[in-house]
Amino acid sequence: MMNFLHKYASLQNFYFLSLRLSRWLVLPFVFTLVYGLIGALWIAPQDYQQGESFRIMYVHVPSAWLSMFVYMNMIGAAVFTLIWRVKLSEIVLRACAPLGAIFTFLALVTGSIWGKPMWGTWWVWDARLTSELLLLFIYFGIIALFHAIEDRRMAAKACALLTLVGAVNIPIIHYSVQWWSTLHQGPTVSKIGAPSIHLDMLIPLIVMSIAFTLYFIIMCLARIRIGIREYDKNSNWVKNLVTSTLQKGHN
Amino acid sequence: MTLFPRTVNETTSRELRKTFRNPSEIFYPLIFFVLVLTMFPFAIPPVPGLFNSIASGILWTAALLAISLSLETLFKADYRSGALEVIHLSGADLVLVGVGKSLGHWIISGLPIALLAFPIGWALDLNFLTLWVLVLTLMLGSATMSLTGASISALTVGLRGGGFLLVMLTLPFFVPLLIFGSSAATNASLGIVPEAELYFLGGMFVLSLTVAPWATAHAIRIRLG
Amino acid sequence: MSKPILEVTNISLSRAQNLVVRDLSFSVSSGEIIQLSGSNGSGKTTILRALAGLIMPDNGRVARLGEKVGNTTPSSNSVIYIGHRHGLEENLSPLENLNFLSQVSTPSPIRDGVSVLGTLGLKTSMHVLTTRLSAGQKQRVSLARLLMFDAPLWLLDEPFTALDTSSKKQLENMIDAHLDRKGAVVLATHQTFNCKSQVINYSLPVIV
Repeated sequence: MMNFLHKYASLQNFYFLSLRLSRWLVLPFVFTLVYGLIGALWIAPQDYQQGESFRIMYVHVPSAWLSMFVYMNMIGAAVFTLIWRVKLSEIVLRACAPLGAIFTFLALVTGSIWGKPMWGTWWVWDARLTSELLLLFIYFGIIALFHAIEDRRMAAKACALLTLVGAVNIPIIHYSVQWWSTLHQGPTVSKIGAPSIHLDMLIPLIVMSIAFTLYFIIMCLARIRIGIREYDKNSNWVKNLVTSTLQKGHN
Repeated sequence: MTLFPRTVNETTSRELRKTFRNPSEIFYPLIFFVLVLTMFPFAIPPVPGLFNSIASGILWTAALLAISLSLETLFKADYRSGALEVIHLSGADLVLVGVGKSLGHWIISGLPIALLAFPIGWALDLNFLTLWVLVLTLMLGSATMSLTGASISALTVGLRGGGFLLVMLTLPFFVPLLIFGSSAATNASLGIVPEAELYFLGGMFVLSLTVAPWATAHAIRIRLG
Repeated sequence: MSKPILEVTNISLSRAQNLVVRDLSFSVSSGEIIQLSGSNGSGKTTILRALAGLIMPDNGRVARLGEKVGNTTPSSNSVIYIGHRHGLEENLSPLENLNFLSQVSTPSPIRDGVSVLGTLGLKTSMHVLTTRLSAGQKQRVSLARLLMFDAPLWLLDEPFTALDTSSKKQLENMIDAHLDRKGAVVLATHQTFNCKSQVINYSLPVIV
C-alpha cells in the first residue's frame, strides 16, 4: 500500500496520472452539469413561498458546500506537508487555496442574490453569510501568505500551519457567529435543512453538487500540474515535456 | 514565580526588561486604542446617548485593533538580530519561549488596555457591573489574543506587508472573542450577569493556552529555515 | 575508526528556488578544520546553515556523529553556529543576553557569562547596553558562545568580521585550542588567518 502511494507521490508519476484522470472526468462533469441544470431550472417545481427565485440555491448550496470541502482537502494536504514533508501535498495545498476562495466568493454572491427577494436587501448579517465571509478572509490570508514568502517550500509549510490553525478556529467562528446571530435576528429563514424537501428539488441539488465537485477536481488537478512543473523545472522529464509541447504547437 | 517553568520566566523577564528600556513601545498600543475610540464620535450620528449605548462594543473593537497591531513587534527584533536562531540552536524549548513571549506581550499591551478601559468606561457613564465585566473580558480576551496572535506573528515575521498581513490573518480568528466580549459587556450594561459569555471566553483562553504555544514553536522553526 | 564529527553526502541546496550548491560531499573528523571559500553567492552561508540544521538540503544527507541532522532537536552541546548576525538583543547588556541564553539552553553551559566576557576582554562593557557597543565588541559577545558551551563542531560564518588585531589573534587561539581538544571547525571567511593545524580549503563555485 505504502509502495503504491509512494510511487504516485512521485511528482512525475502523479503528473501523468492526473492527466489521465482529468480526461476521464470531463464527460461526467459535463453530464452532471447539464442534468443538474435541467433539473434545477426546469424540472424542479416552483417553490411554495419563494417562487422561481429559490433556484439560485442550486448554485449557492453546492458553492457553500465546496468552500468547506476544499478546506477539508487543504487540511489533509497541510498534515502531509508538516508531518511527512511530502512535496506533492505542498503543491496540492497551494492549488486548492484560490479555488476554495472562489467557491466561497460564489457562495457569498449567490447567497446575497438569493437574499434580495427574501429579505429586501443585498446583504444581511445572517449567520451563514457572515461565516462564509469570515471564511473568505481566511482563504485570502492563506493566499496572501503564499505570496509573501519567497521560498516556495517554506511558504507551503507556513501556509500548512496557518491552515491548521484556521481549522481549529473555523468551528469556533461558526458557532460564535451562529450564537451572535440568534441574539440579533431570531431564527434565520433557512430553506436548506427544511425537514421535507421534495425529491424533485433534492435530486438536482445533489447532481449539481457532484458537478461542482468534479469541476473542482479537474481545475485543481490542472493547477497541481502547473505546480509540479514548477517544482521539478530543472529535471529532464519536465524539460522534455516542455520542448515536446512547444514542438507540437509549432506543427 | 516558581509557578512557571524557568524558560517562561526568563523569556517574560527578557521581554519586559527590553521593553521598559524603550518605554515608548508601551504607550503606542494605548495611544492607538484611545485614538481609535476618539474616531467614533466623529463618525456616528450625533444622536444623544447613542455613543454611550454602543460604548462597550466600540471599546472592545478599539482594543482588538490596538492589540492586533502590537503583535507585529513580538518576534521582529529577535528575527532581525538573529537572536531567534541563537535561541533555537541552543536547544531552548520553543514552546515555553512562545508562552513567555505571549505572557510578556500581554503584560505590555493587553493588560494596560484592559485596565485603561475602566476609567474610560466610567467617563462614558457605564455602570459598575459593566465596567468590571469589560475589564475582565478584555483581560481574558487579550490574553487569548497574545497566545494565538504569537503563532501568527511568528509565522509572518519579517515579511513584506508585515503589519497588515498579520492583522488580516488574525482578525478572523479574533472575531469570536469580539462577539462574546462585547456581548458580555452589553448584557452587563442591561444588568444581566453574562455567565455564558464569560465561560466561553474562559474556554477559548484555555484552548489557546494548550494549542497556541505549539503552533508558535512550529512557526518559529518553519520561518528560521 | 570513530565516526566523523560531520559527514556531508551529495547535498544540493537552494535559496528561494535558485540552486546555490550542487552535489557537495565532504566530511570533517576531530581535529580537522575546513575553510569554505568562494565569491559572494557561492553558497557558503547556505551550507553552514544546512550543517547547523536550520535548513534541509534538497537532496543528500547531513549527519553529525552518525545521526542525520534535522531529525534531532537542537542542543547546545552538539554544534555551535556563529552566523552573520550577532544574535544579541540591543536593549539588553551583553551579560543579560548571555545569562538569558544560559538559563534557556539545554544542556546548560559549562561556563557562565561573567567569566566568559572577562576572558574576551569585555569585563568593563559587561553591563553596557548592547546598542552602545562597537561592531567589534558585539562580534566578540557573539563569539562568547564558543566558550560558554562545549560542542565538538563549530560552524563559523565570517567570524573575523570587525575584529581588531588582538581579538582576531584571540579567536585564532580559541580555534587552535578547540582543535587540540579534538573538536572540528568549518568556517567560511574571505580573510586570511593563522592556524596551527592544516586548513583544508574548499573553493565553491557560483552556480548560474
